[in-house]
Amino acid sequence: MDAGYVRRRPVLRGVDGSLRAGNVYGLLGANGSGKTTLLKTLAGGLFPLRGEVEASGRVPSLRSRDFLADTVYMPDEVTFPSMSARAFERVYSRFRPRFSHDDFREYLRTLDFDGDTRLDRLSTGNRKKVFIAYALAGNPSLVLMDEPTNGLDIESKKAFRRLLAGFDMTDRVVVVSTHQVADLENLLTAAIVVREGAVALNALFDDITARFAFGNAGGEDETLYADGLRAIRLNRGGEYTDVDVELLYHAIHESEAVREAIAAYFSGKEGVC
Amino acid sequence: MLRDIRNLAAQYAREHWLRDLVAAAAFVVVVAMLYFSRIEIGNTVYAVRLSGAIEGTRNLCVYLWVGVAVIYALCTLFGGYGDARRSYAALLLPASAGAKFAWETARTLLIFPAATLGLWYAFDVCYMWFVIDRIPAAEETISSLASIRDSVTATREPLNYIPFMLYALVWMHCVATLARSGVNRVAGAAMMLAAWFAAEMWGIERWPFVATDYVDDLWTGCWRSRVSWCSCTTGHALSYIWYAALPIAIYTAAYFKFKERRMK
Repeated sequence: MDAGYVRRRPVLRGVDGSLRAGNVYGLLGANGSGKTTLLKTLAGGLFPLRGEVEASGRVPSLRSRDFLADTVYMPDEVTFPSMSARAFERVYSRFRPRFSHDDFREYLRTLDFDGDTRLDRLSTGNRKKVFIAYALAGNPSLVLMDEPTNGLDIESKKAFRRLLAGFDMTDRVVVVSTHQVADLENLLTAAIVVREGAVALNALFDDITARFAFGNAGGEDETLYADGLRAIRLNRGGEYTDVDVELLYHAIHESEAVREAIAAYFSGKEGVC
Repeated sequence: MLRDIRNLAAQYAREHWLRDLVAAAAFVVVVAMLYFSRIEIGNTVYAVRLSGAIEGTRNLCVYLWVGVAVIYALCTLFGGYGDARRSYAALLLPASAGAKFAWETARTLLIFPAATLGLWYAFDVCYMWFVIDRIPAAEETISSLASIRDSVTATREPLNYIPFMLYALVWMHCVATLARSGVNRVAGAAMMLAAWFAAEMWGIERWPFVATDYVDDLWTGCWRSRVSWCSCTTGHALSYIWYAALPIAIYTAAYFKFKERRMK
């Protein structure tokens, strides 16, 4: 599908793939590359300019109550109506049949938010905490978050990682757009990289490490990309290495060899572009 | 759908009760100013002058009531609906599109106008008590006057059996709904101007395409069709079908436009 705001100028073109349940996807890309557009399209906020999107048999752009209740989209800039967290919980939990009030309060405690201050008067970070708690307490199947850690302090980022790590991922998909990969790297199990109006990579980490190995730069012949300290090479020996997400991101943007290897290996595989 | 509407109503009431209260109060203040300025209460009452002032003020307030309801609709319909910065954006609130549209329509076409009408009625009752208290002789004059209900439900040509001001409210409201459902602002403003022009023309001429003339020949009156291809009765019926179909068509168009709203 193509995604964007104006038919003649799509922000993303030829997006073709799927997201597998049980995974936390890191959505990476430069500013203006289309990450937010993709999230909004998946959430049903935008209509695909061409093609279609389907989520568990439902079409997001139809905005059915069931789909909306089962999906949560957290924008980069979070605003709230003028009411306390408790009032917000009371009013907006009604829209989500699986909302857990106990979880909401527990998440707020974990994120160290405690107060009856009006939500519209909170700092950016505190607003995000409340929305993260609300989003996860609704037990949605599809969680779409745009820069959730922006504005969070170090302790809150740690708490957010703890929350996400404890979130039951059975039959759920979480997509987190972020520029700060280090905040979430240990939680991610898949990556979507957007580059120049297209999805350059959409793959599970297992599939990535099956093809690529991440290690220290050392002048090996199979090295596809190196940034001086770390390198990506073809994984011929079947070794397992952790995905260095930031390195992979830079490699996709800077190395034609990496892009060709991705296109050659991942095209035709289920769940990848 | 009813559950969705109930949730939307609770959400709206919690967030915007003060704004709506201020809007209703502003209407009552303006009504009060009109009453105090137009209905003189001296030591004596001139029945004709008093009755003319009261009826004239009530008729003026009907126009004000319709105007306020339309302005309220224009200012608040689908407010912030597709604003992505609102974490609670109504576009993505888990409720059906039909429920969201129905709630917004009910709120702006029924609830707010009914509430302001009720407040106006209460003020009118209190004011008439005040007048009668000051000038007991005015009671007979006041009790013989057309009431607010008569003013609101008055019929006139060409909508012979449809309360003209209520129809004007529905007409302007349906166009306001279309203007706010996702059409760009310039087009929306043009629509509202055209709708107001059409309503003015209905009040002056016999619109829109099949209508009848009332012929009063001193002893009897009868309706005569202005066109030759159908009878008066058929012409009348077609006119009413047209008057009913217009708002329905516009609301339908507004609903489909509303469903196309996108997040900004």
